[in-house]
Amino acid sequence: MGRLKQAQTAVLNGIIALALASLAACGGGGGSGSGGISSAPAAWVQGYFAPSSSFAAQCATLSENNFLRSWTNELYLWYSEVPDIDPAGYSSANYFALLKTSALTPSGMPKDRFHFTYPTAVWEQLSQSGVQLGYGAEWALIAATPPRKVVVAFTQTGSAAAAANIARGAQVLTVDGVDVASGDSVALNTGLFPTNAGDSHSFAILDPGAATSRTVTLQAQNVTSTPVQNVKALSTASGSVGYMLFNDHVATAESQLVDAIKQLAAAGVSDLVLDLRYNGGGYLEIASELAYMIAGPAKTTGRAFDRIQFNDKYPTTNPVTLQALTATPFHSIAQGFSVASGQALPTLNLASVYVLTSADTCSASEAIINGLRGIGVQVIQIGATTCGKPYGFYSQDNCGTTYFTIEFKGVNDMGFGDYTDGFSPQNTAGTTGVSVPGCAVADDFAHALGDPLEGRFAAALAYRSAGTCPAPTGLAPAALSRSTLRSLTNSVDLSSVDDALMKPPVRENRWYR
Amino acid sequence: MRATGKRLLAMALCALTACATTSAANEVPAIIVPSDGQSGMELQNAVAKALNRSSVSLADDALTHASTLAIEPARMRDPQGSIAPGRAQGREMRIPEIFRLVKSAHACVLIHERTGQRIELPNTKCAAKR
Repeated sequence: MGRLKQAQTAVLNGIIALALASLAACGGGGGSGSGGISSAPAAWVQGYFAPSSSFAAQCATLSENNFLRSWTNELYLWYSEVPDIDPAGYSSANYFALLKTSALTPSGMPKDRFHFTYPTAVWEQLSQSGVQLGYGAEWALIAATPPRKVVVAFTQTGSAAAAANIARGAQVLTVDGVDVASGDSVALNTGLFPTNAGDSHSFAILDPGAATSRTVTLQAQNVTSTPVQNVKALSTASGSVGYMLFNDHVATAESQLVDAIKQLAAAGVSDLVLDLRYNGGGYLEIASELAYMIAGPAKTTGRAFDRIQFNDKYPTTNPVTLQALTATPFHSIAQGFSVASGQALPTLNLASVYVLTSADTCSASEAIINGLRGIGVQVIQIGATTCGKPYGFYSQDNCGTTYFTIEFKGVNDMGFGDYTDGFSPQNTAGTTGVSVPGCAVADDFAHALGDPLEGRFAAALAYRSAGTCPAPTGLAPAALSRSTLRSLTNSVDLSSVDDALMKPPVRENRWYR
Repeated sequence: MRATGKRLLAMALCALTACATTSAANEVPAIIVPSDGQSGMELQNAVAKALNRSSVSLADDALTHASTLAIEPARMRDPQGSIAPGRAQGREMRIPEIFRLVKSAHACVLIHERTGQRIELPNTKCAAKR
């Protein structure tokens, strides 16, 4: 896949180089950004960008830096906001870090928070859909720095954690005897994020409501996640309300979403509470399918779910695939991820949807919110501000490193995609993202997901019946910083906290310090 | 042209691998009957080989409940450590690879949908999926 893309990019760059060279030969094509292309410059010339293909796969540091500089100028969404810095004298990692905009969002956050690399060998790892090494427990970080606090957000059915009766809200006190609150971070990471199947580690667990802890030993295994859980229809005085927890846009989610919508349609639900609080994204096609299944054909036919926009050099063509830019429609048939391709999708035909969110609600999950809002489906948001990622990228391999720089933005049928600060329930305190009707409600680890008494689900039901919110709880993203987390203590009330899911070090930086 | 090319590619791949020759008419969707670790290893090797990788992470119960297997990029997160990074890729632009297990008259055969490659699993027990 990487080689194919590299070849396509090389072809494109060749075409661009040829066109520019032709212009130069005719005495045209002047200007600071597109000088002669016949050969790479021996030294940095400000504003001169040779094609990235002329530096590709040449792994001396300066060549790699030149590659990154030219590639950024070609494909970065905000290329005109990147300072042109002499690539000599920098390591490639340090130079790449400079190749992005320094602009801020309206809330004061960096506009580009998604600029990173992976070793190519790590990035190209493949796994069965939904399979991850671990214990089947998602750790939630309540306090990142001493005194730290870690609780369980949810567990996977059939996993080691589930077999040990570890439930949402359980607090991890020690790992292999090391105190979570203040112990050695390396030891904690080793136990919480095993790297080999069969590794065993012991945990002191304080179950919700328990006065004393217990010790369990968990053995790491490849765990198959269930991305769609707790599907149910709840009877109320004003009709049946559907609920589903949707955690991940993986291939296996397609069939589970179809089954869930069929179940809810059969139950005759008149409203849906879609729990996306731990859903960080994935296949946009699956997001489109779900949006269609919620809204139905009348509202979606002929409308765009999402339309991607590259920088102004590519108004009509995808510069990576070289295909014409076309919108992602609301898919009315299965795309073949785990349901036979072409199979008609069931629908609920709803005019509104309640969405439960957190700072972990990201990317394709946010696209569901934006896509539905773009066709006039009312989205009522309960929870916390979403992550703010209307952007995407194709990975770029070079010299053993895979680089990620924002290349495109997704917009909805109305052309809107400016939610860099996320979506926020309208009564969120402090600086917020795009305001959406609904209620700011903190995560509630004292109740199970899907329990009508769980804080966010309960708020959705109350808003539906009375149109009112509880007093806002939770923290705006700007306040949910490490420094703020440091001030939290072990006595925090688990029925009203915000969290960030913890990821294995290979998936994310270590949180501990 | 493209379909012909795919067929030729599939035929070429079959010539290079241990492919089953039974016609599709005699095949039914199948699931693996768990016996020992040998079949799991055989499946893992077959998938990795089909995708030209040294290894692919599979669940211990892969293809024991369903007759299709989706392989996708391992899930990773934005390594910057920001508060809510979501998936590193965000919108996943790479498509999953789909495999189907079928039972023919004499063998369990894994079919890679994208290429049409057929890989016989001689040490794997399988049964028709009901």
